[in-house]
Order: sequence, then C-alpha cells, then structure tokens
Amino acid sequence: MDQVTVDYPARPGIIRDVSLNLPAGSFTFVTGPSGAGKTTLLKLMFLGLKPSAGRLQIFGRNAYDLSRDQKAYVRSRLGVVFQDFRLIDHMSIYDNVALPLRVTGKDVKSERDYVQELLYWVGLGDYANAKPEELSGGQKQRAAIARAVINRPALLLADEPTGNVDDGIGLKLIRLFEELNKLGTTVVVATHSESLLQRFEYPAIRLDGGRLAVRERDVA
Amino acid sequence: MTQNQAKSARRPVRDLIAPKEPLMVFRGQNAAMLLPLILGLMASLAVFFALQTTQKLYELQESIGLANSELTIFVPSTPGLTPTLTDPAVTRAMDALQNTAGLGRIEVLDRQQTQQLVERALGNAVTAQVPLPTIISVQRARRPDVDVAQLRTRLDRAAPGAMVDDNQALRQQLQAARVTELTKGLGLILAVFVVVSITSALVIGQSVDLQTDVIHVLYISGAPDRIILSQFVGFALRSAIIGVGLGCLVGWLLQALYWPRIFREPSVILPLQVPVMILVVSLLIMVAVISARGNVLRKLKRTF
Ligand SMILES: Nc1ncnc2c1ncn2[C@@H]1O[C@H](COP(=O)(O)OP(=O)(O)O)[C@@H](O)[C@H]1O
Ligand SMILES: [Mg+2]
Repeated sequence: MDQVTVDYPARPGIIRDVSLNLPAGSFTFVTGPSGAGKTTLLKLMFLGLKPSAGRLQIFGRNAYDLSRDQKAYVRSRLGVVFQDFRLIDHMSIYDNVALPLRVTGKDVKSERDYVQELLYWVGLGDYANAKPEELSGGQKQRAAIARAVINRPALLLADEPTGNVDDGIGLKLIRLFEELNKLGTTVVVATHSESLLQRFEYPAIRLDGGRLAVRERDVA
Repeated sequence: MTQNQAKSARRPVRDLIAPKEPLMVFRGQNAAMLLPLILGLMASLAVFFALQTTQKLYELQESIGLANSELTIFVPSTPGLTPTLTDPAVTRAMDALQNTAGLGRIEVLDRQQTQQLVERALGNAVTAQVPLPTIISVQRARRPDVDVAQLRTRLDRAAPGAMVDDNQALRQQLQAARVTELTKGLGLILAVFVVVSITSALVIGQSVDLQTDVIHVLYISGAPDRIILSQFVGFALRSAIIGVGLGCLVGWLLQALYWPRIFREPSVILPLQVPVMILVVSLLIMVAVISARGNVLRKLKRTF
C-alpha cells in the first residue's frame, strides 16, 4: 500500500497518505480509536473501496488495474471476518461456511468432509444444519471465521472480531487466528481493544487522524 | 487442527446434502413477487394488440385480394335497347373479354344487382333519370397478370364509352389502411415493451437494494459478477416465463372474443396467430430479462 488516501464525501482524509507493507505470513494488528479508519483500511485491502489517491498492491499485482473478475479472484484468496458476522440468515451454518466454495465454482459435495472438519475445528460440529439465528454471538463469530478460511485464504482480514463476544471467547478466536498464521496465512486483525494488544506480541499499526500515528514494534 | 475431539463427536457427513438453498431469497419482497403479475398484464395487452393488428391486416389483405381479383366493366346502354345481352355493344365487349388472356369467370350482372351497384356509387336520386349501364363482373386470374391499359383500349373499340374499373382507388385505400394499422399496432406494442423494460429493471433493481448485505457477503467470498447476476437474471427469467406465458393466454382469449372466426376456421387463423404470439412472447421475455440484467449490473458496479 503506497501513499493511499481515502476521502469519504462527508469525511475527507479518513486515510491520508498511508503507506504500509504487510509481508506474507505476518500477523498484524490494526488499532486506533473508534472512527480512526480501521474498517476503511480493511475495506481497501479487500478491494471494497477505491482510494482517492495512491496505489495498492495485493499478491504482487496492482489492485486497480484488475478487471472485476480478477478482483473477484483476488477476493477468493482473501478471508474476511466482520464484527457483525454477516452470516446469511436463510442458509444453514453448513451452507454459510461452504458459501465461498460454492460461489468460486468449487464442487461443494466433494469438499463436504473438509467443511465438516472445519466446523468441528471451530467447535460447531453439531450445528451444521442450524440456522444462524439459533446460534450465540460467539458461535456466529466462529462460523464467520470458518467461512473466512474455507477457501484456504492467503490473507485473513478480521474487523473487530472480538467486539461482539466476551473476553474469553475473544481470546480463543485470536488463538484460532494464530493457528492459521502458523499454517502460513497472513493475518490482519483490526481492534481497538488495548488488552488484546498487550496480550499478544504482534506488531500493531496505529491509525489516528487518518495517519499511521505510531508504528509499534516495527511493521516492515 | 484440533481434530481429535472432533472425530469422536462426528456425525455422518453423508447426511448433509450439498447446499440447496438459493443464494438469494425473493420471497417476502412485495414488488418482486408482483413482477410476474405485472409482466402478465403487460403481456396480455401486448399479445392482444398484436393479434388485433394481425386480424386487421389479415382482413385488409383479404379485401385487397378481392379487389385485385376482380374487374368491373361498365358498358353504357345503347339508347332504346334494354341493357341485356341483346345489346350489340355488350356482345362485342363480351367477345373482347373472352379473347383476353388471364381472365376467369365473366358474368353480366342482372338488373337488380346493377341498380344496387349504381345506387351505391351515385346515390339513389340519380338512378331514376340515368339509363342503367350493363355491368360485367370479371374474375381476374392471379397470373398471368392482365394488361389493364390494353384491355381498356380494346373495350373502348368494341363498345365505345365502356369503362374498366380495376378497383385501384379501393386498393390504394386498403393499402394505406394496412400501413396505418401496422403503425398503430406496433406503436401500442412498443409502448408495452417500454413499460415492461422499465418495470422489470426497477423491480429487480429494488430487489438488489434489498439484498445488499447478501451481495456484499458473496463478493467478499470471492463471487464474480456472473454468479450474483445469475441469481437476479434467473429470478427475472422465471417471473417473465410465468407472467408472460399466462398473459399470452389471457391476451389470446380476449382476442378470441373479438374474432370468433378463430373457432370456425382455426386452421386458417391459428397459423397466423401462433407465430405472432411466439414472437411477442419471446421478445417480451428477452426485454424483461435484458433490462433486469442491465440494471443489476449497473447497480453491482456501483456498490462494490
Ligand atoms: N461509506 C462511508 N461514507 C462516509 N463516511 C464513512 C463511510 N464509512 C465510514 N465512514 C466514516 O469514516 C470514519 C472512519 O470509519 P471506520 O473506518 O469505520 O473507522 P473504525 O473502523 O476505525 O471505527 C468514521 O467517522 C465513519 O463515520
Ligand atoms: Mg470499524
């Protein structure tokens, strides 16, 4: 990401001249007060937003030179976890988790064991046929994580994943991310929780007033 | 991954069927549910207009055919002679006609028919004073075509003052009427197509707006436009097929009330109607789907 600027109509300069580089295989926190632009930064990364200025490279390719289908392909190599889970209400947990396989044209039937295994891994093995409304917040968040990683993403983006679950579950979620990170996935977690930052020794990007205010523990 | 405790609790995975829920659900979206109804109404109108136009064009064509197939010859009466075959002018005219290639049945109208024709042309006030001409009705074979100009000079030689009416004025009138009917019909149908296009685009567009959240998740999950588009296009297509199909039936029934001839001569009328209906129905479905698709794509490109 090189000198990227984002101007929302009502809030110009949410992100101002931000340059950063996330090496493959790294684990990084994005932090800053509420409204600092953490979500916006993640949006840039999953190509959900076009910056007003600057360049963004993802997987070695210039993001804004890509066609819409190429962007879709890039997104198929990303996993995103939202604070509000964003599960699809009318689908079972199994189908929610299998969704990225389905929409990227993979044969969901042949991946059945893998989906089920992943559900057990996040502790939802017995909820495959449940609808999202039957699950607690922590369970929904774990389903969202399973969905985010089903396509074995190279880059996992999590926006306040611990925001809607209690602390104990929040810790477990970060441990899940660590496991994935050890398997080679680059992880970016946006959070405003200082306790998380203190607990884990990973580098943190601090956003404030649209700029990278502090680069803690040196992000390369 | 922590599979050990997972294995113990594992449920037979085979019980899980591959996802059968559609990516998008349109149930409960009022406008979307109304789409087949609206398209049906529009289709019944379009099919009705199209069949009305077909009927009018067909009837005009029949009249043109009649006008084409017939010549009327007026032979002025020789003073003093009753207008019958005893009149030498009539005899000579008949000879001339019989020696002309391309003519079919030749018939001298009787007094009563003659009077009716002349009255129709001139009004009954005049007929009392004017001696009735002899009118010869001639069937014209389709081919070879008769040289009307040549026939005129020949007849004039045989029976001076004879007039040949080849219905040219009537034919021109009918042909003009044909253009008018066609224009009117196409205009009405075009209007319906415009309404269908706008309705379909708006309704499906609204449905896109209602499902932004799901669309967002699909994009995040790596879905290309094609996958998301196909959900909406599929819905528009299903709505259009159901709506337009039923609408077509209604339009046809409506037209049958206007033109009961369909029940008397189905083998004549149906071959006219069926291609028109197929054309209108397929165009309507196409317009509905293409408009919906265009609007969805426009919205998708704007939102993500
Ligand atoms: N789509 C948008 N249009 C306009 N303003 C926005 C939009 N999204 C976010 N903002 C504004 O940008 C600022 C940063 O938002 P966000 O990136 O969500 O911050 P954070 O995630 O750090 O809380 C907020 O003030 C928010 O109101
Ligand atoms: Mg946020």
